[in-house]
Amino acid sequence: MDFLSNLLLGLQTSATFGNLGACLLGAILGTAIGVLPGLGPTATISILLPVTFGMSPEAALIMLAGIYYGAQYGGSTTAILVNLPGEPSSVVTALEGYRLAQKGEASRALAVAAIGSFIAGTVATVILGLFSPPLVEVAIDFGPTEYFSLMVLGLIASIVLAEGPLLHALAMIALGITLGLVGIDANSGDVRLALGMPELYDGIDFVVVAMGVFGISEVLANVANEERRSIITSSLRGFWPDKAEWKRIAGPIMRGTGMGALLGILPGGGAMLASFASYSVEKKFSQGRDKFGQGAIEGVAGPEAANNAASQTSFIPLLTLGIPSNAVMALMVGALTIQGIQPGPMMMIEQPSLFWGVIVSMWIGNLFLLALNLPLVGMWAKMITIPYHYLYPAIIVFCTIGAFSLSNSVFDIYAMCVLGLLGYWLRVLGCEVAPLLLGFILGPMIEENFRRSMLLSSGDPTVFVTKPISAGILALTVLLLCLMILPAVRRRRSEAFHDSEA
Amino acid sequence: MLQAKSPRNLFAGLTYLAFGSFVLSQAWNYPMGTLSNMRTGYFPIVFAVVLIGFGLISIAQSVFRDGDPLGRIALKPTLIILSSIALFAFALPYLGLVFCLTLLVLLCALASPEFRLGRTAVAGMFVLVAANVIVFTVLLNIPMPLFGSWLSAV
Repeated sequence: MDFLSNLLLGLQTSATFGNLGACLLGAILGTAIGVLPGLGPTATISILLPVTFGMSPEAALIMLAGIYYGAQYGGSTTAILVNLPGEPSSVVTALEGYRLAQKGEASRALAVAAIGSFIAGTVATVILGLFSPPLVEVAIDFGPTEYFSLMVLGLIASIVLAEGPLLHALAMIALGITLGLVGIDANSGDVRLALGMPELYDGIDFVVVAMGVFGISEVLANVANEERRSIITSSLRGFWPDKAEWKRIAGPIMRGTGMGALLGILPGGGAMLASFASYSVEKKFSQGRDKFGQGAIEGVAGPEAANNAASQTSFIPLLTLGIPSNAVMALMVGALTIQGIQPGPMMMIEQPSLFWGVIVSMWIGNLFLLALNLPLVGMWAKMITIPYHYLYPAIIVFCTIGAFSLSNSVFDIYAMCVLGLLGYWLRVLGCEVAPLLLGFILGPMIEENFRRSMLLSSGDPTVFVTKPISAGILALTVLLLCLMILPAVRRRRSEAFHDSEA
Repeated sequence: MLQAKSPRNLFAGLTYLAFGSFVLSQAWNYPMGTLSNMRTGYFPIVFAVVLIGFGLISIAQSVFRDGDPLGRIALKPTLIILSSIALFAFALPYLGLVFCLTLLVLLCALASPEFRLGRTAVAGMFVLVAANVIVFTVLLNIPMPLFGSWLSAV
């Protein structure tokens, strides 16, 4: 059976000493940054991109993936113990989890979160393995028209959950695209927008943008308002759920996994949306729904399963179509490009060991994370209290040296400063910067696909709606846009965000 | 004098306007081509115009619609951190990695109102500098001047 032989290939690739080490490192780093204040997977992956230069593509991707879904585990720890979600996807975990911690049942909540995440991760890995090949089959026939529409869908979908008014999110995308256009135009060979600086002929380095806009600007935003964190120090022992509890959490975990797996695939969907959806469902339908608000374990199990499943299935568009569904995936595109690999449907065919190795490593990573999170929870709890002012000089140092190491030039460091300032200014303006990164990465690709489409259709723009697949994708995009403008949805969005601040 | 009801929108609009106008000024001279044969300037000009449009809409909104004030700007830490990074970049070839890193860590740490120069801080600094030197020069083999041209001569 194809599926089994693919899994075997993946196992062979991911079980090498080096790749296992990369996986473990990713899991540890992911949990750590999920727990630590002021540092998230996007910033961390940005900072580590220069380091991946020296690694094999498999190790690099395995490690970065581990950081991403590992952060979901770590984020729930802070959510439960401190009522400060480490990740946006742990916001709902804090709602019930912290209540449980206040009642002295922190270890129960933590255990259920970890177990739910592990089960979801296992199922999601299987889904990845089963559904990627057929998707690749379909995608191979995609032409520039379909790709263009898909990228537009990805960009628009990514701002569904963006904070703030629609206009500003769209402006961020436009800004990102313009930044991406700097450099030599592949078609004509002319230099564009380089302001006479030869260092910009190749464009602004993607890693510089990532580190400046996510790493440096986040430090600038956090430095002046450090929060004091105190954690619930009740004893953290005796945690494995008993039979009665299994009965309660089995349903939410299954439902959460299903929802998360589905929502993760949609561009712009992702872990946060999945966890919110699961919370709403459990609140309405689960056994313990009366207990919501006072510490219902279902409100931890479901959302945690959902966010982990979603963080894994969000790799599907990247691995099968080469299109990033969120900012972290955009960074993965960058990491692959650094390694000289072109993401897209051909990747599964040309680099099967990479493809299947990454998929199997996700399951191994979940195993590591389960082992790391349950017994070692005391250690992670201590890390929560590390003051930010010890942490951020390290972040700055990593970013600075990383920027230099890209092409051994101090110019990149200056560029990173400028972008850091820009990122900070945008945050002050209340704009979310993730769409900017997506626009930056997809901009040149969108231009190329648009150009080719127009060439093929001899300048007929209706081709995007006459070709069926493209038309369908664009219709979905328009639907999303309309939904975002509708007042009812607007209210929901701001409700969701204000709930999280409660 | 027209009062802006929404400072955030106003400044955001000005930012988009500035950016878009700048790009337009650069891309103005690039050949645009046609839809079926797009050339260098097509995308930059289109998106510059889009940005200018967004900017104008945002500014208009700021006058007519209530909105949020600007977020807090932490001017001092921002300036300190950014200038220390720039200083690092400037001094690296002359003073070398070890010295510049130490300087960078120290200056950056000073940007936080919470910083106290004590034993843990100094120890942490040593560890950080050492770790970075090891990771980047030894493990990853990136050619960087460890001590720079001025200090080597000494």
